[in-house]
Amino acid sequence: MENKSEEKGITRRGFFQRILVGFGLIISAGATGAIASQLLKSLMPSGWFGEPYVYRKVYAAPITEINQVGASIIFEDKANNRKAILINNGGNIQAFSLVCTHLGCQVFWEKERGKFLCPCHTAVFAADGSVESGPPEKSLDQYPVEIKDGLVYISFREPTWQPEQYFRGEGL
Amino acid sequence: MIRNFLKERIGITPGELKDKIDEKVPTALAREFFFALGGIPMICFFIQFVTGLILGAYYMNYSGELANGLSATYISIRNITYEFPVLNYIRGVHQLGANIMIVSLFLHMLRVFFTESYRRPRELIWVCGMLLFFTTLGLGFTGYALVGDQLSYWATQVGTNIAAATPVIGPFIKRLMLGGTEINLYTMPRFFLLHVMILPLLVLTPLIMAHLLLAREHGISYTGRTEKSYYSLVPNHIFNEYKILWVLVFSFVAIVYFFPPTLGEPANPFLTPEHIKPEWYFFPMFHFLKLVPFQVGILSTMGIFAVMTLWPFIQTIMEMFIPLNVVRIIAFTCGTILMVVCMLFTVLEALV
Ligand code: HEM
Ligand code: FES
Repeated sequence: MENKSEEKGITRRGFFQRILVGFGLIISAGATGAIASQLLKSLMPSGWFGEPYVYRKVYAAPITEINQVGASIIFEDKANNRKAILINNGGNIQAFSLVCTHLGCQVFWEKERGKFLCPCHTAVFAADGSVESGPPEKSLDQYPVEIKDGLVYISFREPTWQPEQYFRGEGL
Repeated sequence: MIRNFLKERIGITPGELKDKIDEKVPTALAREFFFALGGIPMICFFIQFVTGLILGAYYMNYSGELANGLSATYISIRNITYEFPVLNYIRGVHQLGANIMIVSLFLHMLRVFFTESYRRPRELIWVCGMLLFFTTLGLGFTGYALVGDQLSYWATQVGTNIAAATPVIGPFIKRLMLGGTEINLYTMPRFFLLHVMILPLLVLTPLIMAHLLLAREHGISYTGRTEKSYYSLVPNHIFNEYKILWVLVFSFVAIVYFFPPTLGEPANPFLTPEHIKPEWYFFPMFHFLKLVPFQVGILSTMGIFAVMTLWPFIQTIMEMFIPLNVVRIIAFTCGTILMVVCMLFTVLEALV
């Protein structure tokens, strides 16, 4: 005759077995989680939380071209994916990104009206980058400008992750 | 001989297999247009699969420059469209198939909704159907992104930024899709993978199987007008679907003959064209987003999608507190309003 308590409750053996199975489950869940997170991470070349940005200072134009109040120059460097507009706002030279802060379309600079227009959802930005109308909630991104020896430099805010560099075939 | 050979090796003869698969199908599925609509998206999917495989043999997903400032993507689609024989038909049929698949899904959903065929115990069939619908929209979006012309590029830019506006996980989803914070060289391979592998094979196919198995389990809830009668799935119904396949293929080819596929200017990240628009099936959402503040728009769109997906359960819960007739009126009103608003927005957006 076996002990009655074995039927109802837990035997010592059963108890240890359960603990063991519990441990096993926890450990394998942890391992699965660790591997799954590494798999997901391998798909995120720019990191979990977005990559850090860096500022790259680039020569844009001689000061003489942008000296007059209201003057503007569009700076474009396709190879490096850099585009910005330099505007002389009342003697103050500013550089703006032309990426609409709504959903990322390129805004047009309408020189005559002194405004930026976005073709996608008809947003209008003022010459100082602030939103005048339309869906965007933030002003256009502004880049730091530096003037040295009569030359204007723009500090582009760029992602550190630039896959193009791995495709140039340099050093192969 | 063959029967014994098969019986011994796989345990079933063709005749037994037929008896296993066969079932009674309401004649309405062959007679009434609105009841035959469920099969058409599936036939379209088959057409998409075959044409997509061929396109995939010529498509290149490198969006970097190949020659003369043009990307490999763009050049490969240009060759498909203008250079190689037959391939422009394949591409045209693939485009048309995508559109007809979505149109027939819309109509199929309307039929199911207004005949209340989603009611207990068929709630999960409806949920699967909604997921199928979203997946198909996803296929349309990722497919459009592959083309590499201006509209394709800017639709991708705007679309992924809409995804990024999802609360909490949005920015993560966007970076996962793009393979970086902005569109870059690793974006196209990801869209390609989504379009030809993940969405069709790993998501759509299992969903279709679940949808069909569940529908089979519960039978089609028939509320049509003709007299209730049945015919067999194998071979009659399957043969019917086969006929529809050929009607579709011939009409697609004929339409493509008169309206061959085209290709726009190559993608230019520095210039948004004056009139960018998503594919027509995104018009309702696109127009709605223009009308309300952005976050409100995103959240309410997601809310509407969730309510639509879970509608059968919501209706069951409502029925516990409100008389059935009233619930029906509510369901019909909501459905009609949503349908009319979607159509209105589509027309308004098309006119802009
Ligand atoms: C089942 C639903 C599918 C839908 C709704 C769909 C939709 C689309 C759409 C809208 C395009 C853009 C067409 C254009 O403007 O040229 C496209 C392109 C493409 N699709 Fe699909 N597709 C589907 C399945 C597939 C499958 C299964 C494959 C491959 C196995 C595939 C391969 C391709 C390729 C390679 C392209 C780029 C070529 C081109 O644009 O002409 N598709 N798809
Ligand atoms: S992207 Fe500029 S207004 Fe929407």
